[in-house]
Amino acid sequence: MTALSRTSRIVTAALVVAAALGAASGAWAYHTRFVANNCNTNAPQYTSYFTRDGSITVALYAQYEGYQWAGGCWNDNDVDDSPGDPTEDPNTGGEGGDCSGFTFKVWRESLTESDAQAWQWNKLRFVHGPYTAARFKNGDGAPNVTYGKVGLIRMDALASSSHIGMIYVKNADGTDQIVEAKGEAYGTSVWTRTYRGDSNYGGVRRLGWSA
Amino acid sequence: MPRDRAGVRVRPVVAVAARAAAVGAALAVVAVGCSDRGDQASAARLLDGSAPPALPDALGDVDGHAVLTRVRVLRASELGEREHACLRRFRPEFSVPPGTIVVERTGELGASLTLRDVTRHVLLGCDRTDRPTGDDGPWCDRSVGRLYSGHLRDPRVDILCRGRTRERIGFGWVEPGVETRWIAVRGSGRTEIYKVAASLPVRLTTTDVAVETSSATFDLREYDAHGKEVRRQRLDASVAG
Repeated sequence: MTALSRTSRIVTAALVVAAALGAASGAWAYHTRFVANNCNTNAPQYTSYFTRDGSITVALYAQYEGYQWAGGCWNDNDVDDSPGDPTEDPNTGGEGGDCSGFTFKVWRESLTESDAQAWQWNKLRFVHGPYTAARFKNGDGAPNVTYGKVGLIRMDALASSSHIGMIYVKNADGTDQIVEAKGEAYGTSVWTRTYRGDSNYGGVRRLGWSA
Repeated sequence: MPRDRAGVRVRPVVAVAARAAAVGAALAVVAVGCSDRGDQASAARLLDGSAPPALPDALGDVDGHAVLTRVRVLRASELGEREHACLRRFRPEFSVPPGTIVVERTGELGASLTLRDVTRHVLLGCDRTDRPTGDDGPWCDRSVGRLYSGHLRDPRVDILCRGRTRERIGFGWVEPGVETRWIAVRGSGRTEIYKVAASLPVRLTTTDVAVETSSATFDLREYDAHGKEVRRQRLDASVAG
């Protein structure tokens, strides 16, 4: 009886430890400290010359990096350094941008919506910008305008009220390869999308490209 | 107090009333005709130029220059043209049947609509201030929030609307606690009070907007039906998604 009781206590203790470890693991996943440990708030650099090809280069630094709701900071090691964050939680401190923050940074926009000039944001600069996907879809901000979907070209964007992605390559079949911060489970990369034919999506253009 | 079709209490528009804070203590109601009628600083007006509703007795101890915002709970079919202009901006992405419950709020700084789409998995809203927005009609913003098991995970902050003197007005949703009947937002020497309605998140306004971090701060106090403070928080929320 005593031996059975001791065994029972051991099993119970093991379960408690296992549960605690599981909880600790979950807590770690919720707060990765990627932003705290790696990101900065340095001032952006003004540039009078910015091109669509240059913005593609900016975008591809973020490829295979993570996704972070309200985020805007990533490195270039092709790994999501904060995987498994809960969806749409702005406080998890993980790597990556969300769709609108990614677009803001790739389009090299200003924190001030009346400023249409181009600003280089370092990839480790934590910044999201003032626009949601819905704001982009509406063409809000001096640099942004709505644009007919038929005429969209490379690095123009397709936006709905809850998502935005930029055109990497226009496919012959009417679809596009879209570079986008897709979601926590997917990260940031290039995928073939049918946004152009989706009535929920509208065209958006960043103005002022040098080339 | 009358009830709307959804069973939610709706406080009717009342005659002009303003609130002046007694020194370091409770508020005193200053009605039209009182000696300081001409004191524009103390005579609060809502965005539509009307006087705010009288503060409920339960909130008599709220500190500061407190103004009760007006809330109306309506069905989409009862909305006016201005409000339909908001709903049209969500088409074709979202569907809003005529029977949809819509919460309309009017405060000193801003006004808003809040509703769920037909699936009830998405929260929709429009915000406006008293500054014209040009071709976009009266609404300076529309917001979309995904609901997870009926709850938001993010306040869906907007910081791009401007007030009459071009000051930034931030908007954000807050989900009240179970006991919460009113939410008070403090800032810039004034306190706006919002009544919880229709079991929907409450769209709040603030002038505490930080451009550098694309965020807005809401200094909140929640009160139960007896005026007891049940929660206090300083919500710093960033633009997202």
